[in-house]
Amino acid sequence: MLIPFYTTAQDKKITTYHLSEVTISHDTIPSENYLLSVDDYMNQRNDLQVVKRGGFAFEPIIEGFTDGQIAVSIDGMRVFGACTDKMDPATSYLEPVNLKKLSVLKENESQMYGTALGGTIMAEMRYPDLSKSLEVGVQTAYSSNSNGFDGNLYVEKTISDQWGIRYSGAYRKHDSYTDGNNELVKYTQYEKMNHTLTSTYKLSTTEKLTALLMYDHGMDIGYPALNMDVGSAKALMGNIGYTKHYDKGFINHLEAKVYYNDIKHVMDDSKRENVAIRMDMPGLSQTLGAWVSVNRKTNNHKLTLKGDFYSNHLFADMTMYSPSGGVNMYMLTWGDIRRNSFATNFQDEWKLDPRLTLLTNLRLEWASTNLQNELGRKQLETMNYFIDGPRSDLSGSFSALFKYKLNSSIESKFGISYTSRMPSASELYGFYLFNANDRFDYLGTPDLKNEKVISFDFTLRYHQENWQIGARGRASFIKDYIVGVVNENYDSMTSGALGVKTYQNVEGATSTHFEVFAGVAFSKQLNYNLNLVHENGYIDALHSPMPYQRPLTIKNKLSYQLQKLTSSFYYEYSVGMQSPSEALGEQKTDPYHLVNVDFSYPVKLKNSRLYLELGVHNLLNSYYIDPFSWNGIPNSGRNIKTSIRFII
Amino acid sequence: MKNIFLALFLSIVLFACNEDNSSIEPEQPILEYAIASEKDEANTYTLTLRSSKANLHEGVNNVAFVTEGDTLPEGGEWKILPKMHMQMEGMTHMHSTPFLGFDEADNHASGIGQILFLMPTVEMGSWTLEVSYLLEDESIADWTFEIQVDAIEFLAQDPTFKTVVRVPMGDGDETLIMGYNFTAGEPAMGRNEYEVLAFKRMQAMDHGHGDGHGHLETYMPLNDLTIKSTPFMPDPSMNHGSPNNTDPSFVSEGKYVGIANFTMTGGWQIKMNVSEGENTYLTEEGQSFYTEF
Ligand SMILES: [Cu+2]
Repeated sequence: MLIPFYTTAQDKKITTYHLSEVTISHDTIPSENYLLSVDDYMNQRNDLQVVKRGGFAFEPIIEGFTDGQIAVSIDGMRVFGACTDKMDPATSYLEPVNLKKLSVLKENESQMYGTALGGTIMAEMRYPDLSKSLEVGVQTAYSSNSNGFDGNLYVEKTISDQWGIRYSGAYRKHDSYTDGNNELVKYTQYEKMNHTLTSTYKLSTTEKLTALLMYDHGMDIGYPALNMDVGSAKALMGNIGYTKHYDKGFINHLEAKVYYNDIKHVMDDSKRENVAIRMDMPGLSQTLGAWVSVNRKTNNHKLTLKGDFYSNHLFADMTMYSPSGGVNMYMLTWGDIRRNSFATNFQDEWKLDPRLTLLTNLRLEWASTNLQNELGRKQLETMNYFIDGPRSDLSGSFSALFKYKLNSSIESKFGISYTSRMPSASELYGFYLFNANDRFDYLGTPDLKNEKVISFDFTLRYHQENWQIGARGRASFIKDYIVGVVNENYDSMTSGALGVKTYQNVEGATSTHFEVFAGVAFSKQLNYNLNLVHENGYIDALHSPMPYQRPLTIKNKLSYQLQKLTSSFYYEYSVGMQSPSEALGEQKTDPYHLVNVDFSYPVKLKNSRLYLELGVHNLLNSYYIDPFSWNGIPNSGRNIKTSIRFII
Repeated sequence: MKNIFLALFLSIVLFACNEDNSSIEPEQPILEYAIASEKDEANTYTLTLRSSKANLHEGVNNVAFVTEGDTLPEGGEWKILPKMHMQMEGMTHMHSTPFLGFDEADNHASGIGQILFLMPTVEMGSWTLEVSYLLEDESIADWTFEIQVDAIEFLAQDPTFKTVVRVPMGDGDETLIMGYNFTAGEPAMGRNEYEVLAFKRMQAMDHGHGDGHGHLETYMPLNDLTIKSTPFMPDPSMNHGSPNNTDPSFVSEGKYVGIANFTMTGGWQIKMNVSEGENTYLTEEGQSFYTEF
């Protein structure tokens, strides 16, 4: 039972969104159309929220859970940003032209890639599939608002029966955008490029080797919500994977991967006026990892066992140039923090009867985390923490999810999960990390306890041949919630900061997520989708709402196919941030209406295809502030984006 | 424990040797740097001035005098006298400077002590260190070191940022003198134990002779001070302190030990509020210790 959610029917491959998954999955990049950046793409999704600090590098949020509470897996690799100020979420190093799929995993599935309270973002890269001897795609686009250029190129070549390679590159350069009042939003410019090489080598009919090498370089990226911009953000990632299918035998499928990624992040304040102090703030994140996963299928069970390891190293420091001609100052913000993690994950999908399936997942993770730098340790002595070795943490999760099919049109899911996650590097050892949103300097607390959550999930879906409607709810009860608590005894370091917060475990926090979704296929040419979300959260100890709770937001999408012209109309309405977490820097925002329209028209050429595309985003030129935007930075006003893409 | 010497009239210090006649030579703690070596006036004994730093400087210096070659007779006493010779209008004016320590003296070495140089060597003024070894009040050897005391200069130009704090003590001619010494040698990021040396300077009793000889001021260690301290970064871009500091408290004659936490490198003040009973000599708005690293 399929309802096309969005189609690009002019392609020989029609992209369909399968609604057999209860949550509308939206996770395939529209085939060969890489017009959107990963940021835009995440922003439009129903199952993901983003935090904006400017025009680039949006931070993903899953149902109010952020950063250390969610996991990010890029092509099976754990990737940790190299910025102490979260300027470079791992997703900022992605390009749609490389991506086969970007999924948001929730409930059971999310635990396979990391101990995650809120879910996992899983990016799967495109590998050559050896189905065509050569394919080349080129796309260029121009954005009127930011005088922006987006271009991408890919070449996929099958070299032999066994071996194929794919290169893809992307380049983007945008000036600062103007908001809905036609005023320039300074420091929203960005530039980036990406080169990715993937390869598939079939060892036999059942075995293959894959390899990936990706280099991404962001330059001159503005962050209007922060005190600094980014001069350079470089990521180098590589991995080698092995897959084997077994026709018979105890296991059916084996997959293994080894990987390494290296991220270098350099902040820059040289373009800012009235800076209290000029600083150099470089950051480094290196992750080495490997995993093996095996699957076994029996009549009633689908079992997966995965073992993974990663070792992550973080370093960041700060050199401050005295504006008064005094001696320059230096401190470490991440003093060589090393985390070695070993995890095993067991998952079972058990068909109890034709209508009832039980999914269980058990994850156990052991990690050792150390602050290795002697100076870094000395700094923490000023907080009366004397570190002389690594700390060990045991974390993990257990979840059970029942899927029940009442009849051919009603499906329901009920799940319960318990997750215990260890504190992140910044939460443990961060040293005077300035949060520009609540304007506090944050200090890590080396003896933090794990944050624990019990979540209940419920989904109900009713569907008929051409339409469906459903709802999903989640309630989470968090114990030892990790949050910054004001410490009056400490002086802030950053000029303009309001004070110092130290990360603490506080009792009791709760959050809820509620969404309604519906889809109708009026005809083969016309279909409509709706998604409504409302979230709530409260931190008892701070007497404050929890940050990043989505206020009531409705997203509508209408897709229409007229002859060869594909058009889509997107309308989003949000009541705006009504109960901001002021304690954590959020502010009220106004309701807004957002309308986007997109058109795509194919032109047939000999042996090739040409597409003309036009998008008008924020058609009404609404002035609006995203509810999660830091420091009230307004979103982009009307932008007309035109693109030509060419595929041979 | 032997009394810490205070410079009296002529600022002469006497240290008796340890009356330890065991055959095993007591291990002398030797400071890292040899600053200067001198033969005594009779050209018999060589004495080396050693210091924990490569150069002597304004403020507190950890020093020791160690003999080389011929051994001095046992059971004697050491005398130390630092002197600043200043040329003023054709006349030589002299003053001294406070010190303490030199407890572990024997016939090989004076033991480690601390000299708080109130000022550096300047164009019109030079320092000497006069050292004698006496046996039953009889001088066995006399040495004179001509030494260079470096000025400590800071990038920050604030006249209240000090290596040596000097403030008047109420009425009269008495002055509170304080210097600091980081136990680890240099200040560093993190937790720093530091010593504050505190003396009362009393003017020489005899004024007006002007013969440049004999009448030096005296320094008395102060043992009853209450010191409240605030490490602070005065750079206008910083303007903050640090957490979890410990005020200096009395540990021995003229010496107080505290903890200063430096959360980053840079220029740090240790602002102090110093009082003795009812009398407050210094507040945090006044002079402060200062260091750049
Ligand atoms: Cu950054």
